[in-house]
Amino acid sequence: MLVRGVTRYALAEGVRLQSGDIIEVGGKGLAQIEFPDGAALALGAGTRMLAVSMPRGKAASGNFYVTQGALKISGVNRDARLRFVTPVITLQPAEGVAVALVSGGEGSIFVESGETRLDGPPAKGAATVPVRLKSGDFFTLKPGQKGVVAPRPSPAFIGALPKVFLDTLPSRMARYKEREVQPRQPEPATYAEVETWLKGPPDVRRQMVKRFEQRASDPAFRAALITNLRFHSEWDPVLYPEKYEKPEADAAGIARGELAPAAPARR
Amino acid sequence: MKLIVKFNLVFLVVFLLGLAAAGYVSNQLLQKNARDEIVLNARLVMESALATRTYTSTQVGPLLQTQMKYSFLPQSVPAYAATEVFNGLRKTFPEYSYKEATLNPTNPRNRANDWEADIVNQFRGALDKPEVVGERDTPMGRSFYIARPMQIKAEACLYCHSTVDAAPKTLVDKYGPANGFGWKVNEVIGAQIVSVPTEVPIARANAAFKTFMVSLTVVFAFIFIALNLMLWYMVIRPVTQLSRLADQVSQGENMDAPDFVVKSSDEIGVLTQSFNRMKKSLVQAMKMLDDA
Repeated sequence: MLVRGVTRYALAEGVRLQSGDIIEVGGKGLAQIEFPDGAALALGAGTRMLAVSMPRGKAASGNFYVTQGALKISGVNRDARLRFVTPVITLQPAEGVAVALVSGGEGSIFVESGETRLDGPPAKGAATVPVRLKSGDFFTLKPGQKGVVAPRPSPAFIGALPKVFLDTLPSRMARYKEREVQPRQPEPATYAEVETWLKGPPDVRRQMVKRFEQRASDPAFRAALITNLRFHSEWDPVLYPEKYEKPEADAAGIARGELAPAAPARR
Repeated sequence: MKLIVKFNLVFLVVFLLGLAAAGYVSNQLLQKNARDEIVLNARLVMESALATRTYTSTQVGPLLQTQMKYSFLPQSVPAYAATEVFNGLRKTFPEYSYKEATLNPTNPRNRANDWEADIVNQFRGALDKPEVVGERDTPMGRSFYIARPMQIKAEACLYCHSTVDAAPKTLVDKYGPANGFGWKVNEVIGAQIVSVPTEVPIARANAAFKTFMVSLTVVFAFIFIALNLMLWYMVIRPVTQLSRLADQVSQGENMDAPDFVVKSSDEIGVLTQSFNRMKKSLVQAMKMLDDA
């Protein structure tokens, strides 16, 4: 599934990714994003990713937010500027191939080749970032524990990876170099489809308010927003703008310095 | 001694000599073919193992290189692939065997046993020896073997077999650090040994020999009977009758007997006609003597 703007599409092979796109890979699916310099990013089943920014250029670059799932980043060269923020850790592959698994507050990263840098945000209690992983290193960070670097990946990690991640990612970019493929089956995104992002970390949530503001007029979307308002209170001014309207007298008083502004209501 | 007895004695001697000569030649030929078949089978097995090794190292191995970073896959090892392919073949032909007998193997199943170690040591003692062949008794019967040395010719082989530290970690995880290390370039580390059964081709050759000899004997027997019948009807019987008549005529008996009838125009027919003329002349001569 691809959410572009406020519209949800079915993903199709060959679609060009844009900044702000949200990708969610279905239960048995696999998505692959290829960059002009040969770098590739594969997303395993169940992966949810937001392309925060994807500046155009020859070298692979972009900021991505991944809430959960499996990633394989391959063909990264020294000029690439890729950054993957997860709730557990931030991954910055410097060169080569890295595989990451993020699930339930736990993160695991295996560097097939090259070098990868790990940064915060560290999980509560973890204190082993930043870490520089080299080829063959396997890093695991469990909730409430320090990150551990091992010389090889654990069988559990290998077992949890999509099988295709164990092989070199095949490139299919040449097929679509001259073809523009549009995503199919556009539908307005429902609350459930973007709930993860609406309830995401504060900086992501703030982006989502601006982005999905127009969807608040949809009764179902609005109802779901109201039901879950405690998870994203920044929607309060959108849902209840009347609470934030300043009476003319008050406004005049404020102008004269007589009254303090009312604090916004919180639920 | 009667003519037919003489004839049959000569025929039997010729038959026995012919049967013996044909038996000797055919037996030699069949045994040689059986040996050639055994050697060919062994070479075929050896070449198919080598082809499997080459295919694995040039085509399968590179495809599995990425997966090898996660866990060691013996399927990428040429020796493993050749042995596994052959194990599949052994389900149909259990008496055939292929082994990459190694003195210090990574995989314990490749460790050379006593007689295999002797062969490996032969190669280690004579590096220019290309092949060793021989026969040995096995629980499955007598077996022919062909062995070729396994010599480390490329540095690439040492990637997995030089030291524990240099070997892929996943390989050490799977097979441990105790075996399969310390190999050196140009060292003969083992031998590829193919064993094929000798009993089946030899038994087949023996069966073919028996069939051939029985067939030859039957043919000779048929010829023997046919020749005897021909000899009896075409020579012995008319000559005996002619001889009996000539005997009577010579004694002045049965002078008015009709001519001896022979329809053929062969030598016996000519002899009969001559005899009839002679009998007529004799009768006329006797009449002239009586008239005088």
